[in-house]
Amino acid sequence: MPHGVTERMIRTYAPAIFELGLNIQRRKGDAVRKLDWAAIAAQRDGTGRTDAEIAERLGLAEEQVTFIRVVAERRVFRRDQYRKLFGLGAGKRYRAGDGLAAPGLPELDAEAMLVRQAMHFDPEQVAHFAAEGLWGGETLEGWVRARAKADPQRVALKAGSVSIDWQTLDRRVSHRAARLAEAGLERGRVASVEATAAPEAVVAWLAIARLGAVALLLPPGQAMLERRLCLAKARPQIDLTATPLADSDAEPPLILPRSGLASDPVALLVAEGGGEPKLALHTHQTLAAAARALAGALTIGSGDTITASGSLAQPPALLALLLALATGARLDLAGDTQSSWHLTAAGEAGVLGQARLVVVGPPSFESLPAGAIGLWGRPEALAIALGHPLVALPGMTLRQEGGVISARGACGFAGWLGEMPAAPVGPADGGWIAHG
Amino acid sequence: MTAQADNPMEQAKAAIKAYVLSRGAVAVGIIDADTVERIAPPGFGPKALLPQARSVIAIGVPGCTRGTWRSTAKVMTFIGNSVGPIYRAAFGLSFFLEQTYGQPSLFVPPHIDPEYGNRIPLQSLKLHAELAGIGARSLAGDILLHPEFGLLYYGSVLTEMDLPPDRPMDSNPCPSPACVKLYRAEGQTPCQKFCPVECLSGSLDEAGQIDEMVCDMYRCAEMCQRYETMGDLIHDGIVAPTELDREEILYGAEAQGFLYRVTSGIGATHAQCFECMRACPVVTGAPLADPIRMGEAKRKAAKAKA
Ligand code: SF4
Ligand code: SF4
Repeated sequence: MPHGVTERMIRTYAPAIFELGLNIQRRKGDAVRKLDWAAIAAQRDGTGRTDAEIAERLGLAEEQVTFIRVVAERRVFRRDQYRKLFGLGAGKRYRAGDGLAAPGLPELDAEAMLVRQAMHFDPEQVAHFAAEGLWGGETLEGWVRARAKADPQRVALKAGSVSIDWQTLDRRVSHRAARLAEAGLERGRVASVEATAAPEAVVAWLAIARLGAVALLLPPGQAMLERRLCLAKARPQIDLTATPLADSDAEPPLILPRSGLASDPVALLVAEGGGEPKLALHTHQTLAAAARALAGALTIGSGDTITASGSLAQPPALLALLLALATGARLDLAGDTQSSWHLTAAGEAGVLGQARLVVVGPPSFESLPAGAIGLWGRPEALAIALGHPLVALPGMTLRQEGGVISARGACGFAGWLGEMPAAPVGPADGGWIAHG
Repeated sequence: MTAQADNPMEQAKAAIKAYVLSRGAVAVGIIDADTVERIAPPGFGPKALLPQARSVIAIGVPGCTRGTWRSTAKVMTFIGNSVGPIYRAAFGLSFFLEQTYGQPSLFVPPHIDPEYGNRIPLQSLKLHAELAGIGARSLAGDILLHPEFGLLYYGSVLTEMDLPPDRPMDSNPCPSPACVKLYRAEGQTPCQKFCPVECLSGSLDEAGQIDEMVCDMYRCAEMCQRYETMGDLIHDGIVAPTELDREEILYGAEAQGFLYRVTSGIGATHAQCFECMRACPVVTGAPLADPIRMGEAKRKAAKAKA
């Protein structure tokens, strides 16, 4: 032990040594300038004692005092304070209570990191998405915010006789986000939602997104065992499936924490295919890419109305919601009666008229009903290709090998949320998603 | 010729003044070493460095341009201090004294005493300058202020010459009337109010003079010195929970920014925070506080002379 100093000695003497040294300086009046010798002598303690003087006073050796003082100074030293300077000057001054002037991202806890560890993209593909503008800074909740600002009174959602405009939707999202934050939902953590085709479920997901959290979208009517398995894999911090959701149009009660980034995970979708359900992870970017690609291919604009049915946990209704958010088209939620969705051209843009867009896989295209347009979509990549013969959507690439059609691209999923602790199982083979 | 002009030490004093002014200083004062010894902590007076020291010469070089004061705190962390000009003027003066008068002289390193870590200076340059009458202690952690120049940077030269001493200032420009007004209204002076680590406190008396100045110097050191940063980074790197955390700690932007400062040397490693001074009416409002004001005064004087 240096100089015979124990940890207990440090704890014993550190406060006195810290105070007697230069660390806290106190001066009464202006004694030095006035050469007031008595006053100078009287306040020697306040202006700081040398290690030798402190040693004499405490009965320690000078080296011991130096050692204890230096250790104590290091232990109280805060490295993060310096960041405050990054936000100051050029007209901006610090105000008490500001906290860090330039706060970093909130830390993600271990559970949130498990979700992120499932994210897995092909680096070359990502560079391509960024260069081609297929991925950008758009977020789902950012779309809502922007539409509420640009077109507050326009109808965003319709469910039966209830219409919700963008401003109201935005306020409800903020209100619910605030309540979820109060309930403890943190950035990066999972919240599970009963994904009915109802405004409350839409608001809940967007609120989760606004907090930078991830929604586990669970189909209503899911078998009990399958649901248990999904919940066990995703380990939601908050389970909203058990809670009746009621939205409020009141002003949000608290300032929201920083919302999610476009590259953050935002949704977990259940992919069934026999055996245990798998959870496909999506980021804002993969979902936005799907919505943009499809909106472009179908020339959907803000004048259109999209009718969605089924669960928001399934590609048809989920895509309808994303299209509405991305384009500003009105979304009519038609309940659970139809198994696919269709577009109604209510303005200048839509080209499908009353045609139904049916989400199927490639071999099923030939059997589509007359007038329907087939879309190849899956939980891992919501919008891959259109029609028969297949035409890849912008940002997606198709490959045919040995009779198996595979796809990859900007709408592809981030990875499977594996067994807990999450195994970083991502799309194998450079992000190709095989049909089947 | 006056008696004063006949005195060779008075002549030397005038020559010293002319020399340092020509090297970029704007203020110079002298105090006898014994007076400093009487106040400095034992072992930290001038004679600890130059045993036969008779006089201490304190010089002040100007602070920032007005543009610098108006810039971001980030910019000020690099160019807010004036260590370079101090070296030029004070180091040069030590050579000038030896060459001209043949008397041992020493530029006082404005550095820490390596025996005691990184918080204890070899000498208090502030004490030298205050006693030599070129600055008075402010409420902003005892930073010296000058009524004409506002914030100065100080350097010292010790010499065995027995030079005629000056006296401390008759009055203290701190607190300024505006500061007294704010203190009466809000209980804080501007420097106290805007310090980002809230390390300044204290009080004014009935007459609006300094009653007590308190500075949590250890907090100011987190902004201005950051000498513990290196050890702290290494320690945190060693105990980092994951490899990625270790990379962020040892090679992230914070570590790189810090190491850049350390390796780039002069002007970037200390005196990095100026938020109290930025808010100080003396610092920004003194008659010769910045080159713009200095230029104006010069032109006015030249015009009056013409
Ligand atoms: S230099 Fe910065 S940290 Fe130090 S007292 Fe001034 S404002 Fe506070
Ligand atoms: S702002 Fe300047 S003048 Fe006013 S109290 Fe602080 S140091 Fe003194």
